[in-house]
Amino acid sequence: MNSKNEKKKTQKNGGKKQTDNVGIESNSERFFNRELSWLEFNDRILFESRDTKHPLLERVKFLSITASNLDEFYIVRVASLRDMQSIQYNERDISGLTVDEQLERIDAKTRSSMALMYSTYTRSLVPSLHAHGIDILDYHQLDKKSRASADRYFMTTLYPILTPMAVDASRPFPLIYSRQLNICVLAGRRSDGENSSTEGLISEEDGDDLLFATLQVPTVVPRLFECRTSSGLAFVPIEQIIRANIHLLFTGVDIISTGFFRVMRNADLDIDEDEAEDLLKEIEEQVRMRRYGEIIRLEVNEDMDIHLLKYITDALEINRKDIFCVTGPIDLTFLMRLYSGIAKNYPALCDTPHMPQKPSMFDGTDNMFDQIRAKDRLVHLPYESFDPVAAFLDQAARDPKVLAIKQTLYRVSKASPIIESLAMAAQNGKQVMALVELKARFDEENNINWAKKLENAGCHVIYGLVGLKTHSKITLVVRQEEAGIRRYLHLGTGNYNNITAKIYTDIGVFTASEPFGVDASEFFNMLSGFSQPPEWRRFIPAPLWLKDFFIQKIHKEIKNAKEGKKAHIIAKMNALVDGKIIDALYDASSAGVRIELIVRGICCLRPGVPGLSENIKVCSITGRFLEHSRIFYFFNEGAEDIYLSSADWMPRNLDRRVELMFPVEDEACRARVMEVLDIELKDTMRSHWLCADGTYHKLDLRGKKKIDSQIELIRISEDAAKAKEREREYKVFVPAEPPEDRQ
Amino acid sequence: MSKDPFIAIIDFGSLALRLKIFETFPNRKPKEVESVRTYFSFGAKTYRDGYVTAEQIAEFCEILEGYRLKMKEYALAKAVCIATSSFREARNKDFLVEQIRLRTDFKVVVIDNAQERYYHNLAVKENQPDFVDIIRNGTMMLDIGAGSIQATVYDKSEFIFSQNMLLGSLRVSELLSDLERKTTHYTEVLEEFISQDLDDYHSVEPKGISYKEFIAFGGDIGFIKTLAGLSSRAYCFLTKKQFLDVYDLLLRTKSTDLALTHNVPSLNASLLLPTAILIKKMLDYTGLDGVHLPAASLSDGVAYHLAYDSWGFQLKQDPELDLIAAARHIAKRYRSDKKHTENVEKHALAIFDACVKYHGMGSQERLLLRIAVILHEVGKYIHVSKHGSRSYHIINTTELIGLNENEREVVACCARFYAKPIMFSDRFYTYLPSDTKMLVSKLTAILRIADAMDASHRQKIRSTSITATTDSLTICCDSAYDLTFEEWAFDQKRELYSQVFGVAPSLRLRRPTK
Repeated sequence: MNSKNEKKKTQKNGGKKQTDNVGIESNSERFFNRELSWLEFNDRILFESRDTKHPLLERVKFLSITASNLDEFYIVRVASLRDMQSIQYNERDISGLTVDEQLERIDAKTRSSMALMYSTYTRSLVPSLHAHGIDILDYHQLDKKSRASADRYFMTTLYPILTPMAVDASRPFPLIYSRQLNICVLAGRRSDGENSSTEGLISEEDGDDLLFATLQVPTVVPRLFECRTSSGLAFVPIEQIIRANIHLLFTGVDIISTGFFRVMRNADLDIDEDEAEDLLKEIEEQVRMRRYGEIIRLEVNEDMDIHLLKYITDALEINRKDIFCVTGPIDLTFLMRLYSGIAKNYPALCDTPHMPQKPSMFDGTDNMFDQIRAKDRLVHLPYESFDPVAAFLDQAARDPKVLAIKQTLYRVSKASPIIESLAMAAQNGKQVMALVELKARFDEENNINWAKKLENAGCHVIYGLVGLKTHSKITLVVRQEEAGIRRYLHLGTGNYNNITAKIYTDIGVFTASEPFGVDASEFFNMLSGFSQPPEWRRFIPAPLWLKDFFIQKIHKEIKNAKEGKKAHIIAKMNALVDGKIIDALYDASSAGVRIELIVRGICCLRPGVPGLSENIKVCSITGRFLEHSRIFYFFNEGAEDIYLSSADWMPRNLDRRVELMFPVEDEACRARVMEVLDIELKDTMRSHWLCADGTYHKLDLRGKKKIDSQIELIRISEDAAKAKEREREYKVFVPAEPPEDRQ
Repeated sequence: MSKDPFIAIIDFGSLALRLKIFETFPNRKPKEVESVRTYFSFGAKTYRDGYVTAEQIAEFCEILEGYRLKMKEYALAKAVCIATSSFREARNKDFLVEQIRLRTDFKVVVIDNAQERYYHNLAVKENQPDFVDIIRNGTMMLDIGAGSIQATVYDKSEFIFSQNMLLGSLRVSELLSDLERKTTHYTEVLEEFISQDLDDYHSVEPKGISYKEFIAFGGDIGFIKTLAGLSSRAYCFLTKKQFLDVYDLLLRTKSTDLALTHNVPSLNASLLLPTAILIKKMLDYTGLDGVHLPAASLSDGVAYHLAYDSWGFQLKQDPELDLIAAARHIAKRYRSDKKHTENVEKHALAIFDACVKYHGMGSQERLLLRIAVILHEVGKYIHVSKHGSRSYHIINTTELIGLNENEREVVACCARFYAKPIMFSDRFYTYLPSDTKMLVSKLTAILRIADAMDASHRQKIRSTSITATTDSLTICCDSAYDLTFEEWAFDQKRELYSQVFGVAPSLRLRRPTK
């Protein structure tokens, strides 16, 4: 990394750390460390993969998610800590740990989690799959016929796309891409000097006969080779096939040893928005730079030759403590491909397929504007379908009365109907403004593509405010009606992504309420660079207002509790990290406020500590769907204020992002949100309860009703859809029988 | 062609540009559907250096392109662009306007202070709850702009007086910016500076008004409301105690801290203290226990005016009444002969109304004639001879809220030429644009003969009946007095009327029957 980048990084990380939980005193008695809490969360997913109550292939999927999550955790979170370590930043975090201590504990925790992951894989999942006639085998475990088939696959498909890279004095060690599997080869030159195709493969040092080369396992073909064996279906990781045939790539040398390895690099982008003239170009450049990020972790197969390992670690300049020896296939994310490849043929091994229901608060998706104008409508994903959102935009794009459409886009699916509608609207002469957040982590390239596509279609694309990620989820449609301008809104807790809408639980509200509409216009104006309004009618946006608002709401409950009134807070979110909010919650607990938190992931709050947090309960729900909605409830002397938001209680959301929170005002919508909270708090099957020591445990089910909140919500959405259907059928006019048929 | 249902108004303020889009409806108040603001302080430079730089013009144009996108959301291609004191005081204002037009196709109209105050007052009248009831009592309206302030007084439901003072918050803060570095008691100096100008105002304001209400408005008032914990967008009444709390906060808090702790844009933060001092001074002076703070902007006033003009929107108070009252107040201040003026006004309007068929003028011109009549003798206060040219200067240097620069010039010219036998060769006449020349000629022609009808200032003519045909104008009048002098004067003054309208006027005395 050049010195300029080094300098920027130094400033950035120094600055970032200081803004998080500034003014909060480090205290391990009061706070959990966020990274360790995240690892706990990943362990809860791992727990699901070990839970035999889940169908087998669902467990396979959970293990894949655990592995993928851990990868991302390393390339982002651990990378960030390593940056801090490199600049000798050694302030303590709110839990009282220094950066070194955090990295040490992360390492220990990760190693034990990985041991559990691979033991789950080898001792539980692979044998269970075998019992169902599905084998994941090493090459050498194949029978003769299958080996021949694998070899044929090597010659016809793999061989042409492999590129061995030799290392010598004139050819430096090649760039090893992050998160991609590689094979390394140590060979010895044959003394007979036989000419060969590995002309470039020469000794490591002059006069030495040892040769070193690497080749990347191709990603353009599936990781698993599928073949039929006598016992059923078998899958062989392609790296095994390549290794078995490696001599075909390196003729004229003796292969001494081979090994598999994978590196992870720092993936944190280093964008200087103040200096960037064209943010889109800057981010394109930075995404390209990501491949050169510092290596923070090396995974190798457990039985790798010691010379080979030394060679790689020296060449990549990796510290020994960053090496992870893996007792199974490196990179278990291939299990997701396995799942999606065979799930349809093994329905008994999967959850009953879930079909998102027709949203019960809509009468079909015709006349969206008429329906929304009549009353607010709520849609709960993925229990209900994403169709109303797509229909809303599609109708807006076609409706001649629509003047303008504005939307924030954070993560969009690859073939998004949303993007198609926006482009069509622009072509139909509507004024379309899309705020595309280019800095959505790991979606940068995808978003750059959409941004360009929308611009080409004539949309006005903006990238938000300098230094702040725009994370809010909002769509505004301005329509000119007989009675005047009317604004229609969709506000949500999740992204406009039709694919994740089938997996993530999110809540969206459609409304034509005037104060919401005016706030929405001003919100977009603010995002377009016009000055912020002095105050808001309904919206509570971050970063300027939201945190203070939460603190005020918590203080209000404290005041009520102290006055002997009922005081109650329920909050559901993905992560709870913000020290000031946690402190306020501790105060609330001490004042007697009842606090129930549903926090899926990181939770730095230590619940149930006498004198500190005995009135706070924290649970985390992990199920077939990813809990994603953010709901906040304050009893407020019986007014029962309910809010939905795109923000978690994290400094990054509250201080460094443009987020949005809004009240749910319609009675029917409020009832539905409360129903969700109520069911989730009663969950006995999928909830893990956080203890004062930082561990999570499941409830002892003895004497308790078994409630799986996600299954319960599926049932409710199905019942509601059926009731709606019956209502619709009842309304259908049936032609009367012809007079001549009447007796 | 149907009228566009939306109006876009861009206000080039001293501290910010603001685009407001209003939706219009027949016979109804326009509804604001969008309001965006971009902070951009160029007024400070104009007040300090007297010109706007090329960089600032470029920045203007960039902001305007952003506004164009916003306007497209409402399918609007044109906007009413209004610039006020920060443009007015720029020496290069014409170049500035032209460059903006060439680069962005937005045509900026630089309005004078009287027009600006007219729009502000209009916005307040429409947005201040119970305005009509409030002004039944003595009411002080203080319009606190960045460049100047305007104090307007109402009493017994009538406009009494209005005076402009160069005490705008930005101007004061710019003027004294050096002092802030030189003294540790800047606030006291600021207060002294403001007090001195307000004392001058109190010396010319009408006496004997018992103030019962105080309305303050202007760009920074919204922040005062925010600091008081109230909504900046809505009308509110701030008690003196509430106001003094804000005042204390402003005295205690540095403007840089205000930006950080109270979310006031830093450009505005430093201007709040001068604004608060002005309000405090007026509260002290009037002895009232609170101040009305309506939400009213220039753009609102412009929108209401356009809706009044084109959409049949009925204003709470006829703006002509204020203008006429203002003109009468000026006439009184310059000791015009009230009876004579009223008599001439009656004759002039009667002639105007009788000749509608051929003079081709409408209600606005009738209003101008009326104002010209009221003010036609104010120059006599300085000297009885050549009072026409003295009246001209008085009118042109006096603010008549509700008249634009051109209209004021018309009124001033009428006062200049009505007594002058030779008008056509006067350089003030020859320099006039041809359409203005025509209007001035028509109105002066009427004023001349109407004035002649009371040449003796004795109001001898009680009533008239006028017969206008295509080739004659016959004014029959009833009088118990000898009208020889008036008839002679009429004969002397009727030539211009004949030339302008091609109709010969004649005055006939109808003796009362015994």
